[in-house]
Amino acid sequence: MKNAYWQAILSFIQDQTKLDSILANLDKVRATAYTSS
Amino acid sequence: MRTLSLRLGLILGLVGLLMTACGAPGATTTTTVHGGTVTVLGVWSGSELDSFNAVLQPFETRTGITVQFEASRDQDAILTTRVAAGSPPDLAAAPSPALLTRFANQKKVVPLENILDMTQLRSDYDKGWIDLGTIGGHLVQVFSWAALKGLIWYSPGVFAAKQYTVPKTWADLLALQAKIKSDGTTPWCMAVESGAASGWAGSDFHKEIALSTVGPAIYDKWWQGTQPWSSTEIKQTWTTFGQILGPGDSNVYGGANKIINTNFGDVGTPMFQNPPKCNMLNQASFITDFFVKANPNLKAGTDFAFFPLPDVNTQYAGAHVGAADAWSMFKDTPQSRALLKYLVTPEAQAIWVKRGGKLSPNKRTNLSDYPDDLSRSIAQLLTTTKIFKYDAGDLMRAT
Repeated sequence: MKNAYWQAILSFIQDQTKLDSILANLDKVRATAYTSS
Repeated sequence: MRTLSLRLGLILGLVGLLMTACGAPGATTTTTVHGGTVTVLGVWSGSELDSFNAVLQPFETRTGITVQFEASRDQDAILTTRVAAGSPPDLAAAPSPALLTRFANQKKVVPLENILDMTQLRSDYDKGWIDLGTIGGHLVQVFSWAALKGLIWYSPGVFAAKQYTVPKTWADLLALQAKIKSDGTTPWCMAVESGAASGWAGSDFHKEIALSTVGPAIYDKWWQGTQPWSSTEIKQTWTTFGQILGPGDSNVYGGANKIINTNFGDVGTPMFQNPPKCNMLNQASFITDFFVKANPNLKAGTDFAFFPLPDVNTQYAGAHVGAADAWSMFKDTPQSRALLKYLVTPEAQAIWVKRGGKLSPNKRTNLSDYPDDLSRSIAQLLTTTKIFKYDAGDLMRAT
């Protein structure tokens, strides 16, 4: 999750208009990260 | 006589071991083990290791215990392998609690509430530190040295010359941004390149904004994975971060290309040019070392100073994000007990504080122990912070 967060920061800096898709991608990572042991 | 001396020595040794083992009142400051070793896995090297060795020196002299320290940035793999093999280090020190929390959840670390003097610990540490180290009702981590994030660095000389005032509110900050832009420069310096970890420096700025925007409850749900990133609250933290960046990153010197391709350690370089290319930057206290290494003539207080990021939402006034070195015990021995008890004392923490670069989470550490006014100011900010939360990124689940 942390690495995805850092990558999202880079993506947001490059194009703030893509915020919705950036956050949607983070939610996909969240779904995986918090269900694995 | 020789037999009597030997017996007396054995008895004294046993008393020493028992004093350490029993977690008696005041045991956080009294350790009397004579001899033996304690193994520690940590991350420190270079000047940080020098400081840690300085911390250990009086402990080793007083207790006769030898600390065998092993440094590795790959703690995850090493601890996983050694714990599985049944041969973990006695103690591990991690730069964030997430890794040690995993082992705590697996019940591979030793509960500390019957080892440390909890009355003294609760007196010395804010509740937030105790809560952070408590998992499943057991204290499994304690914290030695801390850092405060969310500091905004600027040049007092430049601010004075341009008649800029340190912002007290979020509105003040936005107004200052606009003023700086109208004067023909850019408000912010920003640099987030850091190899495979690129982006973390920007996430530090975002996390400080997030805590101040949504408050501690949602902040905790966020790193715990129960608050969706696309929720209205978390989305708002990003749009607020966007207020700092400005449209198309127009508030930041060099725009996106420079932000992403400049190493985080060089973030201050354009601020100290003449004339400055940018006027403020966000970074934790360690960044001053980079300032001075790049520009040895810079003076703290004159050429650079800090102010805390103004509250985004005054409902959560005085909220700040920090980080700390977390300790867990993997093997319960008299020696590991003695070292852990020592590390939570103001005596131990003050040694590194005096050498610079670290803050003490122990409230009994004197402000006079800090090496200069700047570090004292940061320490004071830590002690007066109303809502302290640990770095969310370091707490998020690994993927």
